[in-house]
Amino acid sequence: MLNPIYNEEKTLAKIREQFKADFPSIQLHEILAPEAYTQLRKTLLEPTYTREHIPDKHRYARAPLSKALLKNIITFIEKLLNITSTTTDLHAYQMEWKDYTLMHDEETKECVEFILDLTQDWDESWGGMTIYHEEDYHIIPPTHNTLVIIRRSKKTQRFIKYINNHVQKKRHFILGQLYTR
Amino acid sequence: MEFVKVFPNLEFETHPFQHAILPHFLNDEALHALLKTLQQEEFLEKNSDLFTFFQTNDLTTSENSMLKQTHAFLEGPMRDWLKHAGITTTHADMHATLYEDTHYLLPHDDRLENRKIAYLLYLSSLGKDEGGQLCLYNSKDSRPTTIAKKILPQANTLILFQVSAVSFHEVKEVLGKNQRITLGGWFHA
Repeated sequence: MLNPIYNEEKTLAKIREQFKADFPSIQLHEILAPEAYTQLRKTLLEPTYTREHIPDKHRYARAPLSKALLKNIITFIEKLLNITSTTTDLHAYQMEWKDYTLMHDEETKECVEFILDLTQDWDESWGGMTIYHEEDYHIIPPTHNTLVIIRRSKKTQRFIKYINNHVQKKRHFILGQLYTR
Repeated sequence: MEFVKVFPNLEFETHPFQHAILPHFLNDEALHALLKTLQQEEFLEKNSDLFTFFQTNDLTTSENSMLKQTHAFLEGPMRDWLKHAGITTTHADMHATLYEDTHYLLPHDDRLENRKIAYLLYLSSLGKDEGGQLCLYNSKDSRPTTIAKKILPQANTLILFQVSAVSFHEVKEVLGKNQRITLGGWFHA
């Protein structure tokens, strides 16, 4: 269940306007209704995360997610941006001390990407921020119950800053890509 | 200033890629003068997906007398020493890097701008629980796989390695209050 405010046409029109910037991105706070957020958080602590470490690419734990679990979010994004996704790539991530992802040299596909963060009270001095790079760098700090939507071009690169020894918790988030063709 | 009394015999170890570890490299007097000089230099915070640390600008154009002498030492005796070992280079650059608690450098191969030999002179020492180790990676199909060798920062040890498609290395995150200070750069081809 989404926060009802995000069902209002007035809100959607405002968001669409903001999304027209040079680097199309938006952060929507309190995206889920409180009970739905608590439920999703609980669900995401359950899957079996697989640790992956490819030294020149990434280090994290992740688990694949079903489209059904994120139906509300995907439908919302499709309606907001007036798109129909043909394929999706959806994973839950769990990141801790020493985890990171690096920017890839190869070109990426155009897509709409979203991050739904489930981490409470994250301190940016620990690292772990998501950073997008096109011409400029766009730093997105982990903020709980916040949906970040980014329209990625072929030139958009992304990395997650190395998490250092000061960290006091794990970062949990959902990262998804919606492809339209 | 006399930087070294006698150059050590330069033999490269081959596993996991060509590198040399040369302890007690500089004369004590030169080492102390260099450290003292670098402590007066301005270090800027550098950040990317690969690293966080403090670093000076390129010091080869510095007006400081000790840094001028150090640069001349790199361009003269050190390049001659490399040449004697069969490695011909055109010039060297030089900067100082300072790692504090939480600073790190993730695995990469260093290939850029005709870099031929990477060099690194430690100006401080760290214990084995303080991080900051230089790790050399094994590789497969020009991709890093596992750590083959960990080198603990030891003041006045010089590290050299040949930059290639397999020279993957990293610097482990520094933990605690001690600083990892190095003078380093590349000899170019």
